[in-house]
Amino acid sequence: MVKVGKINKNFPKQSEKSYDSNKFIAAFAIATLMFIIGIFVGTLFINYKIEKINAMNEAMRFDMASAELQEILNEQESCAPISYFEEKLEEVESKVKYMEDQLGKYDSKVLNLKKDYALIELRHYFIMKERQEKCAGNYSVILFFYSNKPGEILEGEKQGYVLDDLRRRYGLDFLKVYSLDVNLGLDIIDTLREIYGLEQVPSLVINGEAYSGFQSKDRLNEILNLPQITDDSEQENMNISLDNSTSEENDSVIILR
Amino acid sequence: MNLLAISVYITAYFGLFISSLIFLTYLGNRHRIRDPEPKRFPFVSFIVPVFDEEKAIKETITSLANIDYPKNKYEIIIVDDGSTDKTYRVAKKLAAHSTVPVKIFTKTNGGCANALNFGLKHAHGEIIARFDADTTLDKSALLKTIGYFENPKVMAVTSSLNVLNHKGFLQRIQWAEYFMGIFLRKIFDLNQAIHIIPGPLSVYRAKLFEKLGGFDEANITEDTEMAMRVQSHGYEIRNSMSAMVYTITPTRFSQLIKQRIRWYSGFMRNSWDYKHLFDARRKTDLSTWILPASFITIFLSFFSLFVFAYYNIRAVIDYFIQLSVTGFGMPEFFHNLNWQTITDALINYATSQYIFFFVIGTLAMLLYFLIAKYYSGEKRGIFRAFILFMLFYFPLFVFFWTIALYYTITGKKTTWGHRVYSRGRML
Repeated sequence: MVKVGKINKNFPKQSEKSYDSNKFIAAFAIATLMFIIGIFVGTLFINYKIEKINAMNEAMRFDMASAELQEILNEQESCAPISYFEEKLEEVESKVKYMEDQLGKYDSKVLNLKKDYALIELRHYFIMKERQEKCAGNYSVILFFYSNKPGEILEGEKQGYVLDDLRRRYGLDFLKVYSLDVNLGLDIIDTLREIYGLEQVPSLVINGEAYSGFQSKDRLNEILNLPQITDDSEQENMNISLDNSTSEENDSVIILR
Repeated sequence: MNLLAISVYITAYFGLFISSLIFLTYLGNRHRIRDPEPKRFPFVSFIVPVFDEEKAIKETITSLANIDYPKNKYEIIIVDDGSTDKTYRVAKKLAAHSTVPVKIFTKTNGGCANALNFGLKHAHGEIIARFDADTTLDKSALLKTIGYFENPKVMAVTSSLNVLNHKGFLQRIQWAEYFMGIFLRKIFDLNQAIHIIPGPLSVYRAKLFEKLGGFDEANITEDTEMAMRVQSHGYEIRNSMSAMVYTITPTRFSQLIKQRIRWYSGFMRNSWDYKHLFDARRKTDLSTWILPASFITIFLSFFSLFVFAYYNIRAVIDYFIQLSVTGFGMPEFFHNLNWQTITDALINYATSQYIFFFVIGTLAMLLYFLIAKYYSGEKRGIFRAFILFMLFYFPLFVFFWTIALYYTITGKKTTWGHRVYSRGRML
């Protein structure tokens, strides 16, 4: 029969077995190499995406300059809509936001992208503001100043949600919103805030009038004199009527590129 | 650098380092993977503790009686641990017609370890093979383990634990986990670092019980305790990757939770009792990286889940902020949900800055599976199980460990059979 002794927990202190240290050195080398390759590949992808956004900004700058020159050459103000730019601006804005989510709000690459984009935004803002007066445009232009600093970020996000919601309901043709981060270090943004006397964030400039602090959805409805939309079908009708009002001018839309 | 980046980089580097050690072990020891041929056939005593297995016992005795091993060189000892059904009677009838000696014993219920120790006292084999009643084995399984005992330092040999009921969502995930275990146990073997001897078909040299004692009856996982005891005394535990045994995994989620509480609290109890095995001064693979890696894996899993939860809770909080200012509406991303945005999102994911690590990690896991499949001779397709494993195992793992940690920290009681345990020890 098998003899079963008592449970023996008198262990020898040192083990006779030992590991092969060369294996650890090799594993460390392989892991470090693969890790560096992984970081390198990740950086390549990030840089590729940033280059793509830079290229889009470059193209927009070129096209806008070209449109302005055409107006000078024609020696008259053109009131043709340039919705092409608004779609491109929205596309770039969403890509910049994506990079902000990926790399963080304070990443230097992200801040450079935002600076570049802010200047293009402002150029478009000035064009649209001028046309609003000269072409009796049926739309509102809104400058939105916000900050990503801790303590200031929450109110800015809330204002952003309200503006996005209104833009979705009324469409790009009716509401043109230009979001500007006040911490980019751009003189033009500081100057605009000074002109309108806006020290607080968030703050808005709606059709040339300054509004300091968070403005609720109801308040904005009042300021902008927006028609009430109760359900999606009405919103569709709203969009269709806006489209129809610009249909006469569609033939003369500036086609760029 | 944000929290997500830190989490990904730490996990990635750890994973790369451990995987490198695993593959270096495999590549440097391929000649040692095949089982050594036995030079002789020592007498083997199979000990099968059973409890309420009147349905399974026939299959157990029949399959053991038909293995590829000389019929005059082994015996089967069934220890009925106080069954409440007809297990003992059914076994007695089968024993009468068996071509191999079958001894049947019955006793009052005392638990698995107690039944094994009882069986040991009635065994006279040079080799003891523990076998569970709800398991089946390949005919050649025992034979493949015998050759390892030519080395006098080898005290135990483990088999490869596979799954019989592999169909179904939970079953496939468990099957994949066991399958990965088939490969990893061989890697532990090649590093002399096996620290669990799974119950279904574990084979021991009988002298072990004379020198080190029988199974610890107060321990909730006596198989882990025995393995750590053997390691502590400097003996060897080997593994046969092709000695295939098939167990039945829990089909109900509640059963699975109970099983995992037992396993993980047992692992924690035995790791604590044998904490000297973690001492890096011992300079063994077990102490330097294999045991620490188990705990680091658990820690990193919790950390990664915390980061994942942090980002998702932030998204939920952002949604509530949005609700508070805009009134009820769909969350931001639903507004733009169309085919274009979905493909954009997929492309963004595929070109994420971490994609290289995810791809390498997935390939490494796939390689573990393919190596296990090759050496084990598994014929069933494992691809679907692999996909489900990659998608769902990690949150399940964290969930089970959370519960096990809760039980261990609070000392909450758990039952197994008729016995009550707390923190891995019987009360």
